[in-house]
Amino acid sequence: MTQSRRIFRSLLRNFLQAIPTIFIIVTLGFFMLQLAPGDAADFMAAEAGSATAETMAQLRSAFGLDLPLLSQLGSYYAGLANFSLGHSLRYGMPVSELIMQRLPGTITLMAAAIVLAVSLGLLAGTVMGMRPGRWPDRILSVLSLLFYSVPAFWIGLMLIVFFSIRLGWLPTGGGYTLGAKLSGLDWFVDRARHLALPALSLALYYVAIYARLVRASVIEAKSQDHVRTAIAKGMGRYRLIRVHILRSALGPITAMVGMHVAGILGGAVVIETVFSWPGMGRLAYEAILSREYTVLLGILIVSALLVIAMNAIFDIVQSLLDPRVAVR
Amino acid sequence: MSAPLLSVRDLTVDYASVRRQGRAVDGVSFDIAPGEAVALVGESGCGKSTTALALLRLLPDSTRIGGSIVFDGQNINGLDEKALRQLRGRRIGMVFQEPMTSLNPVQRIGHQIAEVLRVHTNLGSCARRARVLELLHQVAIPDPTRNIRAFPHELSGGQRQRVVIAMAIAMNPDLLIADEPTTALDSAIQAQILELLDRLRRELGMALLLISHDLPLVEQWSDRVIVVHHGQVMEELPSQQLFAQSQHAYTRGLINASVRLHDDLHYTNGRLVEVAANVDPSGDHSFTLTRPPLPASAPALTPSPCDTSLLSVSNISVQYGERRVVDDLSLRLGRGETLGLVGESGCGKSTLSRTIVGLLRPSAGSIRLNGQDILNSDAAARRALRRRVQMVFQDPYASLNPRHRIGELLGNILAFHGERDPIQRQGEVFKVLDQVGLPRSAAYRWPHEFSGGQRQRIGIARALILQPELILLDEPVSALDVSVQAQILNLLADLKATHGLSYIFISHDLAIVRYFSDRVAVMHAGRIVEENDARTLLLAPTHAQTRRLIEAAH
Amino acid sequence: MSHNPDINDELARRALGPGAAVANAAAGNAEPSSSVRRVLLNPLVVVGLTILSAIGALALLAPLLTPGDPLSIAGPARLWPGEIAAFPLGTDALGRNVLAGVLHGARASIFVGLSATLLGVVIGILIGAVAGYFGGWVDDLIVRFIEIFQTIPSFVLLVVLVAFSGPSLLTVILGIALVSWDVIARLTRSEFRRLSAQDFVSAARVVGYDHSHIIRHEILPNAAPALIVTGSIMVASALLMEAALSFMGLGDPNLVSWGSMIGSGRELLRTHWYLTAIPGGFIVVSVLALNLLGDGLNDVLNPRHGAAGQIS
Repeated sequence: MTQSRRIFRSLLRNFLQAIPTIFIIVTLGFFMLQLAPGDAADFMAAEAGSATAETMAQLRSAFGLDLPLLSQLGSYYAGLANFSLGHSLRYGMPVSELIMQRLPGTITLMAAAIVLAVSLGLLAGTVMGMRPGRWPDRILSVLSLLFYSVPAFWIGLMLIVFFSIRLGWLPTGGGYTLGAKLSGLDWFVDRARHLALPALSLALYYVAIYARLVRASVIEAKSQDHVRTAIAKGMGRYRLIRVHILRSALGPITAMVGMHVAGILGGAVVIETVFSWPGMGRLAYEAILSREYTVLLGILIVSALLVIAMNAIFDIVQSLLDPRVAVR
Repeated sequence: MSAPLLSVRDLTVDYASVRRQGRAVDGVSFDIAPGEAVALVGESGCGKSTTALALLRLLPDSTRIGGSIVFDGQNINGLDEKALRQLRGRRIGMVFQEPMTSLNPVQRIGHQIAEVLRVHTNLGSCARRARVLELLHQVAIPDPTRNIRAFPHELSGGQRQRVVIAMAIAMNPDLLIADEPTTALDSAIQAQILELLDRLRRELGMALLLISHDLPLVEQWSDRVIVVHHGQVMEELPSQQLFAQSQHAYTRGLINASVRLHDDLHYTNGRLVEVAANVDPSGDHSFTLTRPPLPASAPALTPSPCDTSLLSVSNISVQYGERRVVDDLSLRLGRGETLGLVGESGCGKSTLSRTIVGLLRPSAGSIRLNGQDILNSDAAARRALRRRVQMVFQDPYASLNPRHRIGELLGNILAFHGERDPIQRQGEVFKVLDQVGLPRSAAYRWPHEFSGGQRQRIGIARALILQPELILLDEPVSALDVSVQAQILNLLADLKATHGLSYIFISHDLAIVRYFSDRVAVMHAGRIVEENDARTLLLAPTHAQTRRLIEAAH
Repeated sequence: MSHNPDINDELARRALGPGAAVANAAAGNAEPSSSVRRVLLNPLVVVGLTILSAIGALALLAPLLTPGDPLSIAGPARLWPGEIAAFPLGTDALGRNVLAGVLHGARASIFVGLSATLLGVVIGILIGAVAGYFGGWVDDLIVRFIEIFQTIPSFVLLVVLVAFSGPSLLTVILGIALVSWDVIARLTRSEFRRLSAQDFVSAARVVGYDHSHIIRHEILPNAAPALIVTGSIMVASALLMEAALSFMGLGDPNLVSWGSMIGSGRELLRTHWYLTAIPGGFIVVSVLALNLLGDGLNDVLNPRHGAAGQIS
């Protein structure tokens, strides 16, 4: 089948593209690590309160921090080849394990935000684009311009003030209710209640973008030749919107979502710190506070991998939606 | 004549959008009988396409339509959306100009044709598929069972137009409207599509409304012609009488301005007729036809090719990656000669011209001007040689930088080439504007303030200002209306006589090449396959490709 | 965190699709001399510029309006806005004047936003122009490089960069410039590529102009509108990034900025939400003004003309 071959080739291309990307990030990251003021040993010592030169040296040699730069780099590469990102002193476990614990949280948050952003964006954009200039269009245009300008972390805090503190409807943070042993539907509802505010805060900015894009596509589509052909065929309004206008807007939107994955991930980092969401971003925040630069570097590498993987998925979705998109 | 199928009375269309305003159609009336083929013909902007779109109410909501459009007893101009849908696609089918964009790019073509049946019938999916296959067969799409699953981008332009036609005839409509259905296609394919439309019209007993700018085309493929200008009907007459018996000055002007293959007119023995429209204060149009005289002091009108040759291109090849677009090609051009270069699109003629002016570098071969090698001389000598060869581009809209006034556009060239004195530069700019027939005030205006023909004059002025010996004319009139074509060709012929210029004239239109060239070279697949003086080549073609081009032009 | 300019890049690209120069020209919108006037007549631009100049004036006058160090304790802690006339916007958990913070914060935020964008734009235009104009292997190399940059989540990279090199005004500016140049580089490349292929550039080469003349006089004036629009959106994006960095405690510790005020106000979110709301409101208003300006410029400089729409 040509379809499966296209998907395979798309995956292969993304995989091959990932190699130089990761190599450059790792190398850059490693040298940036050398820029950092003080290493983890300094921090450990500071936390322990005792800082004799002797214990520092012991700590450094225990973690290989006293080796020459190039051999540290060499062992970092070697470690990576074995899927090892180093060791976290503070948590006392391998960085890769630490990140793997947090990865599902981040992916869940991103996925929820993307679904929310695309569906709300499509809905609002269609309403706006069908009758540009009317009052629903004007109101939604103003709203989208507003969402487009609001920092996600701030809207998150404001949502907490309103929905959690004032109304008490939703929890202020965390991934689930601590200590509650829930199962089945209750478990799901509990998770969803915790997810609602962070996902919405992360999504609003992108809702604004997609709404504007869909609005523009719908308006543009109405003057496109093939839509005129469809009208000349005698098609009704709603079928026309569904089959010809929105269907062809989906391709560019998917491409846009693919382009935004990196940005959404960046947004998730901040949102997670706002909502104490158990994901990589929260981990990054903790790592900054405790100056665990290996953890930060590991997060950077894993985020890039996550973006590459999600891009691969969106490439496939896009090539399924638009047959003209040749697999590069 | 039986009762008309369609009767249009006093149709007016007013645009009122941001993009376009004003009256496009101004009191058009005509009838179409069942089974009849009627053509609306006119130059761009005359309102013919707007009329076609108004018939199915496909214009933007902001447009106001006046008058009546009575189709089979009901006035389309008063119908609601629901009743309109009953007409569109079922009783009236429509074919658009641009086959590349008039199909939905993300849907299989079978699905798009079946959609018509889905909307207008309650056939099951098997029956729909059978009908789609039948239609694909009817419009002569090869291998229907395979191509029913094709996406539009997998088909050629001609095949896509066939698919659009299949959609339009799916419900056996009473009227088919075809808006410039072949303008975007190669000449060989044009004839096939028109033949298909004509055959379907007879088989299905449809009436056909053909919209076109092409007089010979409508003469051949319609029963009756309606000539439109400025949103008004100028004249209506049977097609056979179009060329011989048209009475209206405008129609006569169009006929005389256009060149046909079998005319015996050549630029050395006569200029083309120019039509000028005069609008009197009451809003009526009158037309004057003039045939400009040949320049009195014309130097050597028939140059001899054995003269010292100006340009000699030897064995050049041009490659885009692996693909060799120009293949070991040689040609010579005498001083004062015009060489016509014809060929289908993609034959390499534009690549060749871009190589000669230095926009592309050949992978092999040499180009000599006045005996000096352009490619292998040092930078200063090359620049001096390049000045001698200039170019006029096809698209008068894309070839002028929108951000320069005409005075700057022309004056900067002189400044760059060392003319420091602004007064001197201005004098030169005025002189060249005079030469191309533009007012001197043009120097202070922006490109967008000019019409297509005027812009092409600016393009010619730009080529002329460095006083070259050779100008490459890359399809210089193919984007222009017939009446403007005549003016530009006359101008080019005059400039050649007064400045002793040599031209390489690239065109896909054999009739124009035959009129404007001393010698004609036929290009095919990156090579010159036949070369002869214009008259002989057309009378006695030896190469199959030449014969194909001549056939397609008739 | 935000890839603000993406959408505008996309919209600009669509607006400036093949023949857009023609469309501009046809609509009478290509007159450089009157374009400044038309820009200043656009209501979105007027509103955006008014808000921005008001904020700019407040920032400039901050030392006069609220003298002294905004980080020093000025009065009783946790005063609500309006509670005492001397502190119209109240005081924070330590008794620092919120108004002083907001005004001085405007200086930091605007300075970071403008200088980071300027730096990013200069780098981006240089790299993009080289790639787009000359094409070939240089282009291939630069495109690959830009693609790699786009795979790295820019905000995560920014966090790592600033955390590693120690938060300061300079590192924040350099960091933001480093993660945002690719946007303008990509746009410049595509604009230069599109324009280089146009007939009027071919015509310029035929009359003998050299590369520098063609880039300066033929291509740049036509690419400028899209670059200006994207530049104005990039300032908004830089502002948002700076705010998010400071919020996470990665701003310059010696300077007060809107983001850092939100970060510290957050501790009292439950009881004193105004400490978070006020600086956030200022961010929203400034970013909104920049986006209005960008939209207005886009309307004036890149008018969209109907069916520009090839999707691929």
